[in-house]
Amino acid sequence: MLVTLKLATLTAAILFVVSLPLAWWSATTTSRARPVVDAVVALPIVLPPTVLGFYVLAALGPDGVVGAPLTAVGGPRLPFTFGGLLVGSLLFNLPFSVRPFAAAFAAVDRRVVEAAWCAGASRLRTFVRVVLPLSAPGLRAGVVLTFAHAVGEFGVVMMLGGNVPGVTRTLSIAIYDDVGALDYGSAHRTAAALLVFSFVVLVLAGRGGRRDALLT
Amino acid sequence: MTLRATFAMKRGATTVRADVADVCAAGRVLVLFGPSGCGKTTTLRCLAGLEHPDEGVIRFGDDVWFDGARRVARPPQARRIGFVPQDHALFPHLSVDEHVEFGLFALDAAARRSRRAEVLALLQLQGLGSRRPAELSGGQQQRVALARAVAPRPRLLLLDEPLSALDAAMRATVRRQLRAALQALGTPAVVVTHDRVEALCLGDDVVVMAEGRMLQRGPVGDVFARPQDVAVARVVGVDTIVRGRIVAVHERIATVQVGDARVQARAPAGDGDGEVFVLLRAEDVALEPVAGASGASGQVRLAGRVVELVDEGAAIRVVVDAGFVLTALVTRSTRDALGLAEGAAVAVVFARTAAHVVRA
Repeated sequence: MLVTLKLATLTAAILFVVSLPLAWWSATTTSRARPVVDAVVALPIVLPPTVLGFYVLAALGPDGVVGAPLTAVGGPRLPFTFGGLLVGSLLFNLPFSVRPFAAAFAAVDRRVVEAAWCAGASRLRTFVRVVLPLSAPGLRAGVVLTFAHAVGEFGVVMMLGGNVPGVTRTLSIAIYDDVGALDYGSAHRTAAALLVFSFVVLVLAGRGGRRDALLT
Repeated sequence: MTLRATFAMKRGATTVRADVADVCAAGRVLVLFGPSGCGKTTTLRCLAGLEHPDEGVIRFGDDVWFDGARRVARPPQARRIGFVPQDHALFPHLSVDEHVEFGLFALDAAARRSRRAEVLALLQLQGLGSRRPAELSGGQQQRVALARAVAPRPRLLLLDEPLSALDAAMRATVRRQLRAALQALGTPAVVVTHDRVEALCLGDDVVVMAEGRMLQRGPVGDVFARPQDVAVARVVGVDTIVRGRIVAVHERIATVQVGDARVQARAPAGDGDGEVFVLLRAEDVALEPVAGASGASGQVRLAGRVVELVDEGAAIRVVVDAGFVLTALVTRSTRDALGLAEGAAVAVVFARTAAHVVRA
């Protein structure tokens, strides 16, 4: 339970910070690189989590493109630790924050932004004073969706975290284990709790946000 | 301060070519006038720095805002302009007070408050400070957009179709208020519009644009009364534009054969083969009974028949065939007094000075 909450909270918080500039860039750029970047960000939506998990595992391993240099400088060993789990979770949930954020930014009236520039406000000031408040419902929806999605993630956790109780064992893994051990009662309790939790989160997210914010 | 803008910018199929040199004296208003798609908004956005031309130079006083050759392109924030966008583009989440203070972030709190009070008073927005845009009338929204633009004391105001967001009933009132506000502010302004009444009411000078080109420039009244050629006449909405041929010129008064009629008017400048256009505004053409007195000196009087009557609400537009087809605007009472109906005989009367002759 604690592992799940910690993972989902950290994922949502870090992705909020990372996704703001990325989504703003995606919503406003005229660069020809945009479709490519958008596609990379969206990949986790279509890829089986095991594929992503496998590549991250390979990259983070002692001989991987990230793991090897990391080990060489005395960095932490990531696979089958909470840190590795977090890396996978961040990558896997990126589209669930970037896409709602970008949709919210794109919905902000361009002329309102231009009016702020012409009144002398810098781009950063305009972003903070005009764009952020006007896209708040969409941003909130993106954060909630990311959190909820991180809570329920199974495949990537299975590939990266293994199943270390208290360290990398999340609720969705616990259900899998319970079913494997034929402990249907325990599986029921956890599954029902996740179901209710997800439902409540979605209702709360939909309350302040625009109708389309969750679907984009 | 002098605004000089000579630039070109490709927009789709047309290239907008601007060539403006305007002395921006206090309170003077330059109108960019033309049909939609003529490039006037693009020109305004280039002046604001929201878009950059492909080539050319824009200078304001000693400041270079854009120079294609030297790769200078200053952003809007660095130009000290005030911009009033079409449909106002107010901030939906901010109050009127916050709008006025939006551009005053460089001032300390006390100075900000006093400037805010000053601007609110100037634009008659006192008492509305805590309202959001959704709680304001169209005219009030327009004044808030203006207040946001002028609060930081810009050197040049740019207004894009400032009255287009208002319904027709409010437009006349807000137009007068806007004219008074622009004069009270004393900031030179460039106003984009496609509305003739707006141009006449707000502008001192006008630049007539069509298909990306600046066709004529001068005091608003002159340009609208005396377009230099038929292209400008079409843009400024001259009602009657007919081909004719000069048959005689005597003491600068030309006699022009137009269809089956002869019209006397001031001779056009310059030489030509005598092929001309005669331009007449409907409001300069009066209708009289056929049996009336013959035309007074300096008047042209032609007998004709009513072809069509169009009720425009404020006036009746009457199309008359008097040897050539022309249009007159008359009041309802004139229509009733003359018994105007399709086919009715009527005399058209206009001053020689009202007929404007340009070379074809």
